[in-house]
Amino acid sequence: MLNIDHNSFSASTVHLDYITTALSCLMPFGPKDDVLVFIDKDGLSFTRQSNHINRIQLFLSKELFITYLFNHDDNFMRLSLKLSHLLNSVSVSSRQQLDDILECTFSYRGHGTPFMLIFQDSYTTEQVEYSTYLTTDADGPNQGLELDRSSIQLECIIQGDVLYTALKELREIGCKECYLYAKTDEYTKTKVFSFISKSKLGFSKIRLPSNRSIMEKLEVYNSTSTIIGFFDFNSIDKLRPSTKIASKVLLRLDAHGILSANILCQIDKIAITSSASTSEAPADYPGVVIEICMLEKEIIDSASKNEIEVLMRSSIKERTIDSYFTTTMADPTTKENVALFEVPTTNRETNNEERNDKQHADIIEEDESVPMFF
Amino acid sequence: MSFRAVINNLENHNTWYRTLHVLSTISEELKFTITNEKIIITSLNSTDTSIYKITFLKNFFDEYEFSPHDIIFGETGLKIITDQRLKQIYTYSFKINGNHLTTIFRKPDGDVISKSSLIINNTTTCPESLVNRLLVHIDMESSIMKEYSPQFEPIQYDHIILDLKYKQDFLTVYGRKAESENALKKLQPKIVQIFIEVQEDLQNAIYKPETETSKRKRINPDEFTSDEEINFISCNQTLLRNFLENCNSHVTEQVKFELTPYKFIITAFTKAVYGKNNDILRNVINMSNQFNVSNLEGHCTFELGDASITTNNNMTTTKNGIKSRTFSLREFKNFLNIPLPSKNSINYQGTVNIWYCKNGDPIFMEMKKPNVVMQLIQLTESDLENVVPKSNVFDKASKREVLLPPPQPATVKRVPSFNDMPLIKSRKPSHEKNLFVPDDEYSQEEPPLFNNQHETDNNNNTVMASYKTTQEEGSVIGDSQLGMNASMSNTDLTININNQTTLANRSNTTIGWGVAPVSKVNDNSKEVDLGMERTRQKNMLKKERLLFLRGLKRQNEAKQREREKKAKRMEEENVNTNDNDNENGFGPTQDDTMKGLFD
Repeated sequence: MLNIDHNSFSASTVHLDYITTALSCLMPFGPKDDVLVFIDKDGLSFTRQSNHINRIQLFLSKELFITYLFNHDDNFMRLSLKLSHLLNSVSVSSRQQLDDILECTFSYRGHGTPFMLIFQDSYTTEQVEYSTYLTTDADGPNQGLELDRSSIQLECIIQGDVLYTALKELREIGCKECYLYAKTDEYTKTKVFSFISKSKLGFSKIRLPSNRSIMEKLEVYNSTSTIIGFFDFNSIDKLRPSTKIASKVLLRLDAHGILSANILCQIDKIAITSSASTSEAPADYPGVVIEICMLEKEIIDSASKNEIEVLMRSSIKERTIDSYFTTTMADPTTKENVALFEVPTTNRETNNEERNDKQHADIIEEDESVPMFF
Repeated sequence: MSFRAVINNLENHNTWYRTLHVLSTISEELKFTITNEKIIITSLNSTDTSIYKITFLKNFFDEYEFSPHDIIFGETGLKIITDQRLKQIYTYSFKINGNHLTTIFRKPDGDVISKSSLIINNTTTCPESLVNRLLVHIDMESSIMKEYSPQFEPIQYDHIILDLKYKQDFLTVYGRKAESENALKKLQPKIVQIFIEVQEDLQNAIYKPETETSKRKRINPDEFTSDEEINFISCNQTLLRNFLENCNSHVTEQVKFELTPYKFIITAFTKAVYGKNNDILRNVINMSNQFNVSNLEGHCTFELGDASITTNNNMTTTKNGIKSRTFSLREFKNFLNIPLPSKNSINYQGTVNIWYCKNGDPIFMEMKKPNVVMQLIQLTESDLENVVPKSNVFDKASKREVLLPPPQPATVKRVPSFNDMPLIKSRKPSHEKNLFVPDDEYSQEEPPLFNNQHETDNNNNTVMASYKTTQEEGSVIGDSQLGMNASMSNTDLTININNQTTLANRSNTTIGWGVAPVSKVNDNSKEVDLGMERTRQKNMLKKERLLFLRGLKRQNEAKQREREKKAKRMEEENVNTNDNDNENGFGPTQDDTMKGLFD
């Protein structure tokens, strides 16, 4: 093992396949290959953004690692890497022989030193060094792309696989632009959550089931009780790899047109998708947490809003009463819903106060918007 | 709703999707025609060589409603047709992008479609944005609901009703037999069944087949011209499917059906392509399946029975007797790959009915499944493979046209597919009388061969093979005449001989022989004796050849002697010898040709 000295970070794990799957969710974001990595006492956080339109943050908690050693004056470290390089080496290694256990050690010793991956199995030790750097836009990656939590219009908790199916369907029918439609009716207790695609096929609607087992919560904090968001499908589609491994997704849309998706990926889900090794995840591991923020394409005008309304009404008329009449609506304040997204955060919050650097403060704020902190 | 159809059944949905998929393989544009009873979907490829036409009957759908009177928008697609029972039928036609439909109805991964419905709402209550759109609602088992609204364009569409024409012709040519009293005894029950079905199809068709043949007045309803040729094969799908499995369909491009009296041969092949320097760009490949005709459900073969028509009627010649049609494999394969409904379903018919006319005319195939009728029309290749018989054929045909303007009587035969089935007799009584009738057909194939001497030299029924020679003056054959079976009628012969005199003088000689066409035979035992007969035929041929050679030798000797004499005479008398030569009719080419052939 490496010597643990001042200003160093070292963490080793055997769950390389989890890490590979998780890191691949970062791929669709950004034309550039950079990924910004924050390391602190609780784990590693990967951030990417493209053109200030969408941003992803992925958190790997320290429970995923067998040993996790972090020692730094500033209580965190910050570095940029080439994502494809990192992903390539991780994925190649995770595909190695099944009967041997591969241990991987992440190591970094502060500015100017390379980020190192050390792969060790019974016979070989392989060491990869990645040059690190800092880019200018790493300063404020989340500027403007923050959910205004005081003006949230829509809140929805839905099963990840259902959302994935819907996104896949949108992709297959060649969706170009995508409307997000949500409507609740207090009187009839109906809830409608749909994606509306505009493509060569004309308008297509995908209406997600509103049964409690699938959609735990749909809340529209608005007098009109109808929310229509308008997105470029390429943005929405970036959610797809993350939802594939998601167990639950919290979607929130604020009045400024920022959609935030908080995705909780439980470890078993990842294990199924990457069936390589069967090593068991640590019992206390909460799962990968991903936060994605994206901007609406534009605020839609009333004409197209009406069009969508007509479109939705025509289909609702067509339908008979749905089964959710029998199910009770989810209480928006139910603690259990929130609890699902909770991640141990105590250490992190206490550390926050100790941070002085302004840049650091940005990161902390950003971290706070991750669902596990609400 | 102007139109609404719902599919609840997963299997039906699968059929529906596969069908749309196959239809859109040849053309993006699908044409829908909706009536009260059915939906007809057609697609025609860009080169106009293949048509798929699939009909979904009302019962295919779990719910079906069509109210043409409500259609306000897009009324250009509306059409009123008076059908054969003089009933007025409303149809609504439109064209729509097939790829879009395929995308919509495709089977999703990890989920199952529980219900899909098609709706057209062109009524007064329709919102503007949904005019001329096919509204598709799909419910998934995961309770996700999908709705699509692809656009369509209402059109006035006139269906290509070649299928009806073929069926009509088929009934005209063969159907009379079924109407006779003894039909059930004489015909296979399956064939009769097919006649009845075809009759029903024609009666239920909303379009009227207006065929030339139906208009034409017939002098004799049992006589047909070669223009009216139509053949029919009914075949189990599995036979064709087995063939497709074996035929390496990604390398082969074309498929050929060959129907001989005993065998049905399907061949998949690709022609070779050569580059500039004769280097092979693509190799020839050829794979064929053959099976006995008794494995077919039934078939009817059109043959011109009159001796003076020689097109395709003579089984003895190499290619003429084989009905062979070549067409593109791809569409055929896709057509057959539309999935079968499960075997348990009632009214399941696993047969493909195939109708075809002459080479170059379209071949028409039909498959019927419960509530679905699938049809494929494909153009066949027009060029005959063998050039020699082709030229002969045209030669004779032109002669016939000149000399015999009235329609030629034809014989239509139905070859039974099972030995124990009662046989269908040749329709022309004159052909029922003896086993070797076809002999006179081929002996007349080369009419100039015979002179008056042959006529009198009559009816040796044991002779199975004969020579056919063409000569300007046919007195040379001599002993070979023994082998002739010239049972032709005198009138035909005289016509042919007259004809010959009008033709330009030709000095070449054509010789050929053949086997008696057994298909003409009206007895089942004939098939059994086939092998024996062939050996007998071979023996006969040998004898004939010997005789013929002997005759030749004698002739040549005689000729030579004559020439020697002449030469002597010429020398002596200085008389012009050419006249004599011409009189005797011996050209130098004749000798050479005949020798060459038999050496």
